[in-house]
Amino acid sequence: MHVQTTKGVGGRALVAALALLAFTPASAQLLNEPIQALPQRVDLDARKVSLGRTLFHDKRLSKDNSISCASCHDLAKGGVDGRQFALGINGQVGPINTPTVLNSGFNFRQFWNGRAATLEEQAAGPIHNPGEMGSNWQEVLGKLGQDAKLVELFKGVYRDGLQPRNIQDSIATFERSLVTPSRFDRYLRGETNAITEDEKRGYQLFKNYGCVACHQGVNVGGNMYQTFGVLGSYFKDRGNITEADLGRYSVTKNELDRHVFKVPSLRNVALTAPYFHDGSAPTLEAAVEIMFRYQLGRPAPAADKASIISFLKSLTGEKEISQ
Amino acid sequence: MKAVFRFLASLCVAALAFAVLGVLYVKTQELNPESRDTVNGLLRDLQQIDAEVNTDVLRSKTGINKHYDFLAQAQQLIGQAQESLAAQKLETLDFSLKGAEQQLTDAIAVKLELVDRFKAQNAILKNSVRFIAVAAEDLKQKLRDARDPAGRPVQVAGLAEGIDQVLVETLRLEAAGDSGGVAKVRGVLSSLVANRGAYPPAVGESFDIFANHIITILAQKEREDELLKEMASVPVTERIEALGKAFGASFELANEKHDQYRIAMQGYGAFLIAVLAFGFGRRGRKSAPIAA
Repeated sequence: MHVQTTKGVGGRALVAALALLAFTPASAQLLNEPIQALPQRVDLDARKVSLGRTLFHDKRLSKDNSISCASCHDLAKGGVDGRQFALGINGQVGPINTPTVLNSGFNFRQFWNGRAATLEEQAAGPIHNPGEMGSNWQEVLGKLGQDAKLVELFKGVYRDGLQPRNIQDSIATFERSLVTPSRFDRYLRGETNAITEDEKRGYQLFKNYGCVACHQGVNVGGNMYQTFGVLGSYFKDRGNITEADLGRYSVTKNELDRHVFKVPSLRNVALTAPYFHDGSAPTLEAAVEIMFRYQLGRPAPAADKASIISFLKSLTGEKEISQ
Repeated sequence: MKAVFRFLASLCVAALAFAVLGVLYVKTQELNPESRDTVNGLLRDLQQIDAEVNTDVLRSKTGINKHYDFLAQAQQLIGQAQESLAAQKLETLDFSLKGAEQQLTDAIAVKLELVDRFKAQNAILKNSVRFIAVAAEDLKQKLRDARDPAGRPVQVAGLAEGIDQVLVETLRLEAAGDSGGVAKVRGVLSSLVANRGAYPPAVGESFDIFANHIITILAQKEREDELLKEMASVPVTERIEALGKAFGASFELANEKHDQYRIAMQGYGAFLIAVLAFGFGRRGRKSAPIAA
């Protein structure tokens, strides 16, 4: 995977991915797959990526300088924190499971309820959330503005230097660089031996059982909303409804959007336990069980589920993300 | 003292004169001639993307598109085009354009929401349609395998035929352009549901799964019809055209005013130069006898 560093060219990763796919050699039958390979190149400004990486790990974005974006989106842990719910400043436990930052540039919206249209918009959210970083732009700029080296870096990259929109832009650009091609992507590009026979079987089952109806596209999800509990009453069975369970309803106030969430990407899913917005499924096995019961509304033999899990594991990125 | 007062008065008059020139200059700079092409280009882009959305919805409905990335991409592109259009600040050209722009924004918001609902509905429908043949076969197998306590095959009159009829009618419905056959399928299914109590446990469980998916297909098929009708009625194209027309008219008006200001500035500038030339010339003639 090559992150092409081109000066001055901002990237809309999803648009770039689809454009590049048109020029990427691949066997004809694989182009018609419901899951698409990640692009082999993403054009981003190297200086913005570098600056964004620095800010992504900068704890000064939080009120008490205790947490950074990387605290919840740990790049060494699949872009998540491995917790059921995120931890904010002062040890506050958040209301929702942390989605992965890996390949987030390919999501059509950000956050579980899709309230942010772009990564730039999303980057501002946790900074201002009292339960997460608990800060604001005035405080952040005040702290970062005293860092002469950082101010100089910003001036070198952005004409107007250290500004909130530039902080958001650089973080978002860095996040767009977090692309994790997997063995399955090599399979989609024609390397038929890139995945095992069981993983191939698992992919076929993933399609046959209908998992692919929602988990499709270049990010194996992330491009639509769906009700959690299509063919079964997940929330009725689980009980203890919280604000986070309202999903998209929190944004639109439309009853039709109650319990509707952005379908998460399944890339690197083997690394991002626990699962679902409520972190209720501690393992992939448990998550697959819930999906069959409440989303697919059908039973399946254990062997089929095991093969599907094998396939899901083949979606793990092959190269480590450098911190 | 008189001379100082006269000097100050002249200065004030000169300042006022140049201030007027300055105002006229600013007026001529208010209109950005490139904005016409930019705005029209953005409106054309929106129209194009909207048309692509309509096409991709149909391609997803018919299964030609195997994923929703095309629709998701179009949603993002529409958002970007809207941001670019908002950055043009049309209301500074003519405040009444704000209303037309807002109407377009509202229409696009409704359309994008319907696209989101379509994706969710379409996925559920496809999933259940893919499964019902398997579910029907599984149910019939359970029926064939059903035994009473004495080990004799259990007969449930009409169930196997009912399953086939429901399956065939549902698949026919799915292939049809609309949900006109929903009532028929519901009728057949309800008669099978009415006898649910008579089914052996294993058959009953399998029947519940089958029926659940059939009910889901029927509901989603009706929903699909509603969504497509709603999408077709959202006046995105009309609002784009209305805004384009209103913008064009406002721009022409502003352009005429711009020309008027330009001519006024040029005329006034020439007048000022003439006055200055006259003034300096007169001062020069007054000073000359003294110098002589």
